[in-house]
Amino acid sequence: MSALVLRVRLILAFTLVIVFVTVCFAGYFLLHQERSASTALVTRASGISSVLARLVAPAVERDDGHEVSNSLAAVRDQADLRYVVVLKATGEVYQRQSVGSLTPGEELHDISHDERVVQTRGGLVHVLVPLYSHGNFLGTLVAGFSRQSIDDALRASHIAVLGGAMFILLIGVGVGWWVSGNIARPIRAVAKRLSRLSQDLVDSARSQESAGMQQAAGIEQTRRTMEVVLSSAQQIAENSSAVLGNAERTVTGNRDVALRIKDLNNHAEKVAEILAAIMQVADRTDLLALNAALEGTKAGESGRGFTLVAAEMRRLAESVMESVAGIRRLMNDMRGASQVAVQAGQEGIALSEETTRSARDIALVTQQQRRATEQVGQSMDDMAATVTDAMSRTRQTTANAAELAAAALKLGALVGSGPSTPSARPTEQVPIRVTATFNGSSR
Amino acid sequence: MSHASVTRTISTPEPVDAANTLAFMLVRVGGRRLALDARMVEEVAVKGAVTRVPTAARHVLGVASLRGSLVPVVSLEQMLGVKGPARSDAATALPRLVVVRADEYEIALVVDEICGIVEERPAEFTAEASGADRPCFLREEFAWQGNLVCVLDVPLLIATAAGRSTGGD
Repeated sequence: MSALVLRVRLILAFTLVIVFVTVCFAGYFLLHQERSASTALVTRASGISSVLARLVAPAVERDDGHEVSNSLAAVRDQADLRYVVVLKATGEVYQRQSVGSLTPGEELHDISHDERVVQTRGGLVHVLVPLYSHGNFLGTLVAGFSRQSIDDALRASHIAVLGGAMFILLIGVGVGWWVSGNIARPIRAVAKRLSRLSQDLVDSARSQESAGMQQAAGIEQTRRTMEVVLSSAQQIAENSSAVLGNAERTVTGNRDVALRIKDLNNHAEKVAEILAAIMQVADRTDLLALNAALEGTKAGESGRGFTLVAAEMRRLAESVMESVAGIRRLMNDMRGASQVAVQAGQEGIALSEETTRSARDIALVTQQQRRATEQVGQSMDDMAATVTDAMSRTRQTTANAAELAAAALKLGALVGSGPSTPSARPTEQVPIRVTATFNGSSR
Repeated sequence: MSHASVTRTISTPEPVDAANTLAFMLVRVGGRRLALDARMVEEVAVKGAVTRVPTAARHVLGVASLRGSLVPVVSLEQMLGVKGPARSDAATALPRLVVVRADEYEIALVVDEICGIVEERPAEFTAEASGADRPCFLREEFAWQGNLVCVLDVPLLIATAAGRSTGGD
């Protein structure tokens, strides 16, 4: 329907131009034709009247009515001639001749002394020619010529011009239809392509905007993560400092323990020496008791009591020796345990020193990590600013693309390639939420 | 000094009645427990430095100075042929020298442990087992604390040790 409207508009434009040209041409043609016909009629009427005046002037001077009547009858067959009246100088009608019936007052009975007077009155062209003979004014010849032929010719011309104009109008409408069709088809194709491209551009811009928003969200998430990492690095640094202090205190404590164990070993060595002396004494006592028991046995019945006492002493000595042996075993166990403790202490010192180095390394690495995190945060700020600017430009691009799509759809609807309602919705103004500052509170 | 001459010159101690008890010194040599007549034991001493004697028999380890006199030190392990001495967990399990005397002959026996002095009735002893490899100085046996103890004939032991020490076998 819209396409038809466009083509009708184009046809009307063509037709108006053609009608304007035709009207101008016809108006000019008819006007010129009327003027030419009127001029020709006046010229012809003047000529006929002048010739007739020369013919009838001598007869009027002689007062020969018959000749005058014959002369007037001779021009009776002239086209457009309605009447001829010969007036005397007094204004009295001398002779008259008419063609057809005339309405009263249609004839002009004016006396003219001028050379020739042409008057147009009552649809007739009246020519007044004075009659002179040898300088004497004899009267006036008045001839009336009808404009009927001119009017008929003009009417015929009007009809011809109207027909020609109608023909030209039809030709113009046909040409306009053909030209509008030739103009509308490529415009419609271009409008379709423009609509499709603009819609694609809108979709691409929206996708780019959505991706930008996701990227902005990712940057925001990364920035928050960087803040958490920075906080964690700060806590790690504090904890590593505490670990470093604990490890150094552990090293000192382990060294004290090693010194105490060494002193304990020295005391154990002295106890072992004392135990060796006790063992030696007990051994001697055992031998003495054994020899005493032997002597008591040799003494017979009288030495029985001595033998019993000696046996008891020997049991005591053996008990002492067994106790010393037990103490030695305990001392050996204690020595082994102390050696294990010393070894464990040395390993603890080594581990504490390793822990100290590790804590220092952790502190160093954490410091580097904190600097790297701050740099990442700064990069996130720069990236957020860039994304914000890109999103603004993308939004502007989306709006422009939407407007282009609407214009393309409107153009397409205008040329009949689609619906007149644009499907591309205007761009929603979504606030940009990219925070462009990295909260490096721990710097 | 030959084995026969020594046995002739060394007198045995006075026999006791079958109803009476006799004191024995119990010793351990390797894994074997032996009993010595307490009347023939002079003393016990710590095994100190022993000076080796050239050309002596294998069971004679040397001589040791005990109370100012030199006493031959004899290894009962070698004489008994005991192999693989069983170590005792007792605190008194130290090498000892048991000096035995028969008349004027005196030797020191190396033992691993002195278990003590007990009184036993010889009448209740079981007869010695016979065998070609059994040394002649081993006599009767009796049970003590679940162990079988063999009685040594000290004069015959001294004679045997002396005879072998001179290489007179």
